[in-house]
Amino acid sequence: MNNTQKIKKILIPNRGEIAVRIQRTCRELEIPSVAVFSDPDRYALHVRYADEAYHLPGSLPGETYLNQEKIFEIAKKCGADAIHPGYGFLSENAEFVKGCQKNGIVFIGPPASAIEAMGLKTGARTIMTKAGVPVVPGTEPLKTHEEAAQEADKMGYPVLIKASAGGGGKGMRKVEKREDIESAFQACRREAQSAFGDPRVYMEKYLENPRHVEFQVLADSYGKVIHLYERECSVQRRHQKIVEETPSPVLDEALREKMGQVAVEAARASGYINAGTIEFLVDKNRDFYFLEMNTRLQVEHPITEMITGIDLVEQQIRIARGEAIQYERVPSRGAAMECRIYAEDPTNQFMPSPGSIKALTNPGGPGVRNDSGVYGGYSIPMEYDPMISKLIAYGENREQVINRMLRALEEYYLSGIRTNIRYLRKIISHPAFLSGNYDTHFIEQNSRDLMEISEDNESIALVAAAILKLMHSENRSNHQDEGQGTQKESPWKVFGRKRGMGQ
Amino acid sequence: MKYTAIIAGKERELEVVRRDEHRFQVFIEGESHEVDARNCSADWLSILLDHCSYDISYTLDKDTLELNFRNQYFDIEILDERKLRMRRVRSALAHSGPEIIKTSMPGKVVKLLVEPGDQVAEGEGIIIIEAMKMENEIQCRNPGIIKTVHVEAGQTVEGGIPLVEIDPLPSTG
Repeated sequence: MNNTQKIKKILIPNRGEIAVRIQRTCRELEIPSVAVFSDPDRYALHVRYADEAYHLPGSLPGETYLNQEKIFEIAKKCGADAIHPGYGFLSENAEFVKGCQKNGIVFIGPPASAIEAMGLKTGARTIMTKAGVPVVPGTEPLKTHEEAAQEADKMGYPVLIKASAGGGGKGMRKVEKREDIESAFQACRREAQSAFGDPRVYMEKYLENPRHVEFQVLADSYGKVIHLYERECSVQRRHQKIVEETPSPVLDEALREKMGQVAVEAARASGYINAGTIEFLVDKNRDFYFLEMNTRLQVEHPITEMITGIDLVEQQIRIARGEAIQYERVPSRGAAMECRIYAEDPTNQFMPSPGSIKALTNPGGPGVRNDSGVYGGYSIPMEYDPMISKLIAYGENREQVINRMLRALEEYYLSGIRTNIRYLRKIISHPAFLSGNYDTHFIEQNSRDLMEISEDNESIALVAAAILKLMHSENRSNHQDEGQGTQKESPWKVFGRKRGMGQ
Repeated sequence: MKYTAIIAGKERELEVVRRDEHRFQVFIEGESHEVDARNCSADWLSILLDHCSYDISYTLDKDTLELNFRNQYFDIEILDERKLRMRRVRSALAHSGPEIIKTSMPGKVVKLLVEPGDQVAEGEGIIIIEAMKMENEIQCRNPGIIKTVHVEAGQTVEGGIPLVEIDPLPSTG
């Protein structure tokens, strides 16, 4: 392609693991990357890992990672000619994309028009229906509660009343019977007005026990759209995904083929370019419905990378600089799974657990990838989301991946803060999860099993406690003479360095 | 040395005897264990117990010990006889005063679930706090009657300050 442009330097207005993830690909492509950081983030891994880093004074998102003016100013100062937004923050902000264009900066993501088209739920439903993509049976925006009641009678209860401009579970109500329609309609309008500044609501059929299955798509500037298979994301806690896997245990080859085709059509219908995700709900009859399109790189993108061998960030950069997609049909191989590691305490109502990571051992070995945003000695700030890393396992098949993930979670040691690691182990060793037959209600239906506190290992803990207390009270610093063994430099390291210096 | 460990609300009697530099004999409720234990770094303990290997990370702060063994956490209070007596006196005093609801970190009050005069059961939700972009419900430990509410919805609060005070229920016997 002749109309490709060079990208010389990429600014990443984001933080944490995703900023590091993007920097890694930049480094492989030999494109310098620029980090930005808020006041609490000077010690963050993405700043240490960066080639260049600029301070965004303040700690509120509006002053820092959402501060478009400041970000454009830094881009100019450092000579960045492209911006990769990551996920969250500015990644789905159409105004920001237009701002990039105005400032002559390549936005590594979709055009503003596609973000706008997919941002309004009812608008997106209309586009998809026109393109022949199945959507959950539903209505146009509703004017009165009488109209809502009529529609609900036609549709059959239960129904969902949802904000037209909504997302993320806000302004959404399930209604079981006719008497409750009026109050739900009014409450939903109020919530929609206060959350999105737009009171319009519409109604959808409530799907019983749906699964959440999404398809990764890639689209270039020349009209080529391909899909890179599905991700099963039904393990959710309070509408937040925590475990994702591919392939989905619910799809067979025929359904995968069909949904993949529909996902490609859906992306085409919205004029999409770059990497995106089409989310579907799959009901118990294995009928599937378009839910929404995410116009950005997803948190759970690594599992797709594992089964296809494709670096999605690299593809995003290539597409943004005008290259054509080189693939026709990408083969997939094996299976992969991701667990989101949070600094939170499941035994104390999932309270976030910020603070200093005193010791950290990362998991390793066959089939393990850890996309982390932290390090031993790092203090997790309380200003941001408590996700600290994503642990990814991959292998030949689902069974191997589950065993691998259990093993890797066990190797993953963090002290000083609490994490959800043991909770994740309980999820992926739960019989309902193992069977593959689970839906979006998995967590709430099994919350008792998942929270069960076992007394296993209590005697080991007590043995350790007695010895540690004794060592402490003897005031002998055993670790000084014992610990040195681990600090001594390995002869292999010395050897390696000598070789590296060309002897 | 003899200690009392408090783990998951239960008291357990421990005794530990040092055999040599690395070997210990530990009695848990009278049952004996032979242990080889080494500090591998400042907060890691490697234990060999009947040839089974246990790698444990820990934080010891005076009498409170936090252990992490294969991502199972144990909060243990470990006390000698004198400290145990002091603790019993303290907790007897604490039980007679109001329960104070606090949050461990700064956050924003999303919603108050109670008002003064309300009677609450053990484990009932008192207040919802948003911290680190997550909403969390704080519950009370003991049944009681809401005495004072120090904050209101929408307010930003520091960690550790009293949010709500709960009087214990008048004793029936």
